[in-house]
Amino acid sequence: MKPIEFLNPIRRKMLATMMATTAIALLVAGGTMLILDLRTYHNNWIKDISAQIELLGLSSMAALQFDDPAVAQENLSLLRIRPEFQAAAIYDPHGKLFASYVRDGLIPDFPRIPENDGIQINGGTIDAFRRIIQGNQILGLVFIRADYKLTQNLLKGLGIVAVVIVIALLVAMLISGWLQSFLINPILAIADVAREVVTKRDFSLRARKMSNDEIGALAEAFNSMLEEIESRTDELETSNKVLEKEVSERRKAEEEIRRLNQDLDIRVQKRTAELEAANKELESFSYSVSHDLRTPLRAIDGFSRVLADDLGDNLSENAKLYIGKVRDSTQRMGQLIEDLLNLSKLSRTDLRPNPLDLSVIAQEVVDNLRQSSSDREVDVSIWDDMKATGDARLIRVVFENLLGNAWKFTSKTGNPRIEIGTIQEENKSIYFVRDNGAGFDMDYADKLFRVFQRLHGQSEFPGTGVGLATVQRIIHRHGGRIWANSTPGKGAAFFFTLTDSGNTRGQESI
Amino acid sequence: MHPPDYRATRARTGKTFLAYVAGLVLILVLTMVNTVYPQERVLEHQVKAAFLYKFGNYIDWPEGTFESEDDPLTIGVIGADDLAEGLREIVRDKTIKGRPVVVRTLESTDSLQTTHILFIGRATRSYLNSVIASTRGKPIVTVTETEDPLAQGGIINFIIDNDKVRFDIELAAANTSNIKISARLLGVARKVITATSS
Repeated sequence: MKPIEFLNPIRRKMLATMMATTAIALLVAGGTMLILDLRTYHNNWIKDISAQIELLGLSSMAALQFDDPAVAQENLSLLRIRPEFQAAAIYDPHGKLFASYVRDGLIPDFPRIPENDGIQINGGTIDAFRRIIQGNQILGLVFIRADYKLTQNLLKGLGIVAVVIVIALLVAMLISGWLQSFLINPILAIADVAREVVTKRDFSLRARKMSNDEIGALAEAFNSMLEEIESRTDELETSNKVLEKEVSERRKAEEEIRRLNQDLDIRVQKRTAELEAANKELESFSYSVSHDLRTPLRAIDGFSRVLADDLGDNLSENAKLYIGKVRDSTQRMGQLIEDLLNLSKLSRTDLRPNPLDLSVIAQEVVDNLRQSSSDREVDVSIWDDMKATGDARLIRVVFENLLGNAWKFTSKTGNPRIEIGTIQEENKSIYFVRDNGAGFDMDYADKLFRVFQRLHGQSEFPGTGVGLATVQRIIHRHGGRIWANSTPGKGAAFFFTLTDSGNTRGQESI
Repeated sequence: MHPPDYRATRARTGKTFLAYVAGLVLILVLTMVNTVYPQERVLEHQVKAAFLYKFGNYIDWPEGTFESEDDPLTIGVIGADDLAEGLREIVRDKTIKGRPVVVRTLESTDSLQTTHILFIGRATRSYLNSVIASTRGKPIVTVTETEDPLAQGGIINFIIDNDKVRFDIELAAANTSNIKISARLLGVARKVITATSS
């Protein structure tokens, strides 16, 4: 806000207005009066001269008639008391000078007589002629020359007007100071308050109402405006304060949330690390347990075989059966240990993703299955050209397990069928392995992928209960998901994805 | 109220005016002559005749003197026949205050009844007083030309002063006759006698 600088222009303007008004009024009045005055002077002077010349004519009539120039001279000499008459003369009817008068100090200079009565103005003098007539006789002629002071009167009048104007202007100037205290001071007071309000930004100031006119109304309006501004400013300030408080509270809350988040992060990391450590411990434990279990198992298997071979026919039929059962159990246990070792290995081996053709992998696995059980007739259909990205060795394990399961659970089904294919859903490839085998109860679907969980008896369908856990582990390591649905007796379907589409592409590019 | 234009007046008055001007010039020239010789006496009478005519303009007669507005003004002359002749010439076709002017030569005071101005010449010196006495109380302006003012009973008396024809006015006599003489005429009189010096 720039500072308001008044150089008191109202004062000056008002003074100028007053002076101009005064000067113009006086000029007009003075000019009019001067013109009227000059006209009056002229008219009166002409009348005066006419009267004078008439009088002179009348008074000189007898003198002319009775040839008495002395009397005429005396008459003319009376003009002495009117010094504005310069000269006068009386001529006889023949144009001869009969009597004359000249103001003291003037050289006699009488004009050749004009033929007509009349008045002529020649610069500073006025000449008048008049015949003296009695009845129808011309007795003579009177001539008067008088001052004609129009120019002097004009100059004098102008001088007076000028002096009056100067005096009036001086008086107006003096009075204006007094008038200003009435008219301008209230305005200046308002202006001062306005300036103070602007510079100090103090809206509680009020202008003083000094008069009951428009200026007073202005002061009131100004004050009510200030009041309005003040109340609005106050409101604004209060609402600002409230807002500030809210903002700071919100900031505090955000700070709190951030702190809590950090805490949470730290805790999660800590827990994760703890979990990982526990997991690793568990894995190494299970590995070492499995590994260490192999040795006694091998001893049991080896010695029971040696026992069977050495004793051979010496053994009773019962003994042979028992030894056979021992050896089956050891083999099953060996398989179990093998599977567990594989599962724990999964956690430790690094993932090496590559572009894969799942159709080819599935076909190979199916071929192996046909070889190992050539007595079975299974209708297997594999969709062509199923491309994916993943670790070839692990994906093969997935198919070995899923197809192995399908192969196994269709063993008691007439016309067994297995289908390997893919569904596209939201730019994602979902692969499936479907069979028309024994299936399972969906109530137990959540137990399906847990280690050692089996939904069928060992005697019905042999298995260790580790396969699907392994499959889930692999799928999870690929960033995918696995689920299943089934109707008991009508077959089961296993669905899995390998990775998010973005991840897939990213892994493809490696 | 302006007097008629000079030229217009001249055009109207024509010859009369020219004759008048010529006569006046003659009179003025003659009045400047220093000495009075017998033929100058004639000229003197010419001037006096002109004066006699002009007096009429400055005198008011009492009411009832004239019977009507255009009743002539009569100037009677006793004992100055040459003056009467000159006066007749002067007043021909002239008026005084709108009245025609008649000049009558009188032998005696027999018919003073209709006379308004009466000039009594030097020739009547012997019976001047009786003539004046006969006019007493009548509205007649008596004009004399005597050098002895004490002997006068007339109203106006011509005298020669400084070789010029001048006149004195006896105001008391005029008052007696109920005649009013204009102040302007009094103004040009050589002397105005306001009371009888007896």
